Order: sequence, then structure tokens, then C-alpha cells
Amino acid sequence: MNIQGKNYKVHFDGKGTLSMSGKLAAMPDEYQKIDDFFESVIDAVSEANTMELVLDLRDLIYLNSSGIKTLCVSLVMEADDAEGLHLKILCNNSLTWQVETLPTFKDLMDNLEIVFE
Amino acid sequence: MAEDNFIVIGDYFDPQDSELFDLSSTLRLRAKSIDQKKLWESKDRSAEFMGDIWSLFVDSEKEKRIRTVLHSVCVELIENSVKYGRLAHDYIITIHLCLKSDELLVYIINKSDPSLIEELKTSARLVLCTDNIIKLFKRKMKEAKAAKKQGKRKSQLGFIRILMQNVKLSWQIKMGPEVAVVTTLARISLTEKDA
Repeated sequence: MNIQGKNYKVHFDGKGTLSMSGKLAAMPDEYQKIDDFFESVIDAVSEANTMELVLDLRDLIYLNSSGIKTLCVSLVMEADDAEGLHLKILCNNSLTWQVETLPTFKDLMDNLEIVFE
Repeated sequence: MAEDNFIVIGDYFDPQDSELFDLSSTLRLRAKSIDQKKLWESKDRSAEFMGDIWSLFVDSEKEKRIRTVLHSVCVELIENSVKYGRLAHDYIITIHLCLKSDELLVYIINKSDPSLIEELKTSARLVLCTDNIIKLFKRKMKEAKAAKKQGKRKSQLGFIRILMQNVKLSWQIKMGPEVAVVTTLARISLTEKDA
């Protein structure tokens, strides 16, 4: 499953890895399809009884505040509601926005692991 | 215009009130003459341009951070200008940058609908009075999740995100019967401790 935007890509491998890359600063209304995409990912891993979802953000150069909200509300907090699901976020320590923002996600989900590379 | 039509929130000061700046630059976008979608898409280029140019004038060890923070601040504030701009008027978004020895000042000026100002004032006062920005972030995300269930999409995360980068915010709002002129000031510290 994919969403291919002008400057970004969101990809789910159908198993347990969701990746986002490029620069994502879409208009607020455009986030509806990404909302729906994230919800379908959570549904897919729940139906498959997958215990771990990996979110790979290492190539996501920029994400605006609407995108951060979408990621938090429709993926991280939904994953928190999925029983027994562990979420691992792969981050890039050379991208300042990730260093400053992503550690705060720990407050939104108990079973969350954040890995900087 | 009467004095009481000016509203100031936070530690705001006009560019002309400050001492002589080392450098300053202004970018003006005549918003009505540009398609809103194109304006939105162009904001990233405008923000990158500002970040790239202005990072050259700070110490090399601060260059990367200033480029990143300036880009992020400009993106969030230009987005707000587009989202809340008064399209019925031929409004102009002005991005004015001033460099002092110890801080970079970013002024974003746009025209908005007066009916939207109460919401802006509430948001601005909320982020300025908080003593724990991370806790506020968490609260806003919980509210956004609840709002989503009601079909609403607002998060008011832009200001919080800017403050999370150790940038100070303040506002001046000039109220008129048909249009409110909103000036947002973002102050990016260049001192060793913060930068």
C-alpha cells in the first residue's frame, strides 16, 4: 500500500513496516487520506495479530505540525489502543526536527520504542 | 485608529522600536494574486530560502540549527497566514527578518478575519502561560483525538511546535471592522546557551 505525494511517500509493506520519506507539509485537508491510510495499517496489523509495527522515519526530512498531529493521533495513539502492539520508530539523529520532536511521542504510548540512528 | 484597537500578547516590540539591526530582509507575497494551493506549496521554498540565506550570517556551529529552526518557524507561520488569511481582501503576507547580535527576529504579518481573532488570542495566551510545553503537547494531542471523532481537524500544534524549539512568540493585533492585521514575532536566540 502506498501514498505517493509530490514531495513525499508513505509505504506499508503489508507485514509490519510502515515508512515515510521526503518532505511532508501538505494542506490540512490533504491529511485525511493519510489519516485513513494509517487507520487501515492499524486494522491490518491487528487482523494479522502482528505484535510489532515498525515506523521508519529515517528518510522523512520534514514534517509540519499538521503532519505531526496526524502521526500522533491516527497512528501512535491508535497503536496504543491496539492490545499488545509494540511500536518501534526508527529515527535519524542528523535531522533536527526528529531529535526535537519524536522523543515527546513517548508520552502518548506506553509500548513505544524510539531508536535514533 | 484608536489606541485600544491594538492588542499585544506576550513580549512584543516593533522593529522600529529596537536598536539598529545588523541585517534585515523582507519577503512580501501578494496572496490574492497567487492561487492558494500554489501559495501553500511555495511556502516551503520561501522558508528554505530564508533558512539558507540567514544561516550564512551566524557562527558556523549554529548554522545548521538556525537553518532548521528558521525553516520550521517560517513554514508554520506562513501556513497560519494562508489558513487564516482574508482572501476577500487583496492581502499581503510579509515576512520580515532582522538580525541582532544575540537573536534573530522573524515578523510575519498578514490580514485575517476579525471573527477569528478570539480563537487566536486564546491559543496565544494558552501557549505563553504554560510552564510545561511537553505536557501541553500531550494534552493537545488528546484533544485532537477527541475532536477527530467529532469530525474536527484543528490541533493548534503550530505554536507549540515553535516553542518546543526554544523560540519565543508574541503577537500584535490591529483590529479593524473588516480586517485584523496580525503580526507574529518569533525570536530565535543566538546565544551559546540556547543556540
